[in-house]
Amino acid sequence: MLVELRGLGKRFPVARDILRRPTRWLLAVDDVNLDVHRGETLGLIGESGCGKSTLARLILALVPSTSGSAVVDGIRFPGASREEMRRFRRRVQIIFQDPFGSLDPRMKVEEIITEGLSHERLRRAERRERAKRLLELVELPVTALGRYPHEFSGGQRQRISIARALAPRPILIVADEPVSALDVSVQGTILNLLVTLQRELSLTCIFISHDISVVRHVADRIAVMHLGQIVEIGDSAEILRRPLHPYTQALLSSVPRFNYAPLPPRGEART
Amino acid sequence: MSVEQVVHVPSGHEPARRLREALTLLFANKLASIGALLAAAFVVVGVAGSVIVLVPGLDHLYTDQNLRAALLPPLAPDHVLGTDHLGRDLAWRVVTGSGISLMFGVAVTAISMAIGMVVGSIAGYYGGIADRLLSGAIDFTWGFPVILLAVVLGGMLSPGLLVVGIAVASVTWAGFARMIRAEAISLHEKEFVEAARALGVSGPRIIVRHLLPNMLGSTLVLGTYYVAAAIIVEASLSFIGLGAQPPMPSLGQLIATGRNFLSVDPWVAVVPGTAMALIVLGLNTFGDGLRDVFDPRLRRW
Repeated sequence: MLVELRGLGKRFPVARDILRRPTRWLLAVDDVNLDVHRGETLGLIGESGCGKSTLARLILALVPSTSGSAVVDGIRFPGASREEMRRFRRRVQIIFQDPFGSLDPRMKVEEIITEGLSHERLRRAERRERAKRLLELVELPVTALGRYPHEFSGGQRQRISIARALAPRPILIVADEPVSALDVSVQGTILNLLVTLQRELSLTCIFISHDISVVRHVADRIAVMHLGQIVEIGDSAEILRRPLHPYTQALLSSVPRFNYAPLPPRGEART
Repeated sequence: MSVEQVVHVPSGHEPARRLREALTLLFANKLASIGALLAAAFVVVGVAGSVIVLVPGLDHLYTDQNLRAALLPPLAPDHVLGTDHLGRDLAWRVVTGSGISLMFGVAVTAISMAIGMVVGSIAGYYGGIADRLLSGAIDFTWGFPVILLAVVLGGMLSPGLLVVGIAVASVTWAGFARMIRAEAISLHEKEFVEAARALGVSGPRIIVRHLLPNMLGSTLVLGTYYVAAAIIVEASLSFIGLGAQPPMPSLGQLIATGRNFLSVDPWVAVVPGTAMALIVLGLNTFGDGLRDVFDPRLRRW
C-alpha cells in the first residue's frame, strides 16, 4: 500500500473571537480513510469545494492535518523526521490545475524543470542533459529550455509542469485537475501523455477532477468525495455502472453522455 | 500519440527583446518619458557631482570664493547660474549638491529596501508568530516621526548626512517591509510556490528564487518614490541645520543658505530649489512609468 489515510481531517478557522481563538471551523476534509495501491491510478471526483484539493495538499504534506494520520511511502504524518521529509519530497509530486499560476513567470523552463534536482548537485552540463531528457519525455522541443513560461500555450505549460514533477523521479503523482483549465482539444493529448507516462514509469497516480468523463478514461478505481468525506469508492467500471451512494448517482446523472474516441496507441499521430 | 503543435515565438535574443518592449511601454507614456529623461539628466548631473565630491582636487570648483563676484544673477559671465554670497559658482554648487542629494537618496533607499525585503518577505512567507512580531515592529516603526528621530540623533551624535541617513533609513524600511509583506503573502498562495515546496525547496531559497524576483518590479517602483522622499527629508533637515554641514553642498543645504539672501538675491535659493523640484518630479513620474511597465495587468512576464 503506497498511501494509507486513517481518519484524516483538516479544518480551517473561519471566525475568531477577540483573543484570536477560533470560534467557527470549516471542515474541508472530514475523517477520510483511503488506501492507494502501488501502480494504480485512483480517480478522485467531487464537485468544486468538496475538499479534493485540500486532500491533495494533505497527501503532499503541504498543509498539516488537524486530525488522523497519513502514511505515504512508509512515512508517517504527522511526525516525519527531517530526513524522511527530504526523501518524501522527491518521491511524491503534484501537478496543478492552473497552467499559468503554476510556473514562475520569471524563470526559464530549464530552471523550472530542474528545480527539484538541486539536491543532486549536478554540474551544468549534466543538469542540462537531464532537462533535455525531461522535455523529450513530455514531448516538448529542446528549444523550450531557454524560454519563459509566457511564451507557451496552456497545454505546453502543463507539459512543463509535468516535466518538473517528474524530475526528481517520483513514485506518486497527485494530479489536481490537470486538464480542466485546458481546451477540450488539448485535454485529450495531455490525458494521453499522463496515461503513457504513468505506464512507462510505473507511477502511482491520484487523479483529481470534477469531471467524470475525464476520470473514467484514466482511473482504475474511483473515489467519490462529498462535503469533505469519501462517500463511495470502487472499481471505475463498477462505480460508473452501478453507483450506490445517492450523491454518486446524482453526480453521474448530471454528466451528459459523451464518448471520447478511444485513445490511439502511442507513436501514432492523430490528424 | 498525438503531438500538440508547438507554437514558436519569433526568435530573437530574449532579454534584448524584453528590454525593447519595456522601453516601448515606458515611452508610450508621455509624462513618464519626460520623467525618465529628467531623471536620466539628473543622474548624469548627479554622477558628475559625485565625482566632484569624491575625487580629491576637484573641490575648488564649488568652494572657490570670490567676494568681488558675490550674489551675481544667472547668465553672468563665467557663472551660468550666478554666484552665492561668497562668490562661489552656483552651477557647480548645484551640480555637486545634486550629486550629494542623489547619492544620499539612493544609498538610504538601498539600505531601507534591503532591510524591508528581509523583514517583509520573512513576515509574509512564514506568517504565524513571526508575522505577528514583525508586523508589530513594522507598524510601530512606521508611526515614528522621522524629523523627531533625526533631531534626537543629531543631538546625541554630531549633525550631518550620516545621522540623517540613519534616521531616514530606520523609519522608511518599514514602508518597504509593509508592501513586500503583502506581496509575499499573495505570492505564497501562488501554485508555483506550492510546487517549489513540494519539490523540497527550502523557505529561504523560495524567498530568494521565487518571491524576490517576482516583487522586484514593484519594489523598484516604490524605491523611486522613496529616493525622492529621502531627498526632501534631507532638505528639510538641512533647512534646520541638521543635514549636510557646510561647506558640503547638498541641495537642501544650498536652499537653506539661500534663505538668508532671499530679499537681496532670491536666485541663491531659487536655483537649487528648482533643481530639487525637477529631480523629485522626474523621479516620481519615472516611477509612475515604471509602475506601468511592471504592472501585471498590463503585461505578464
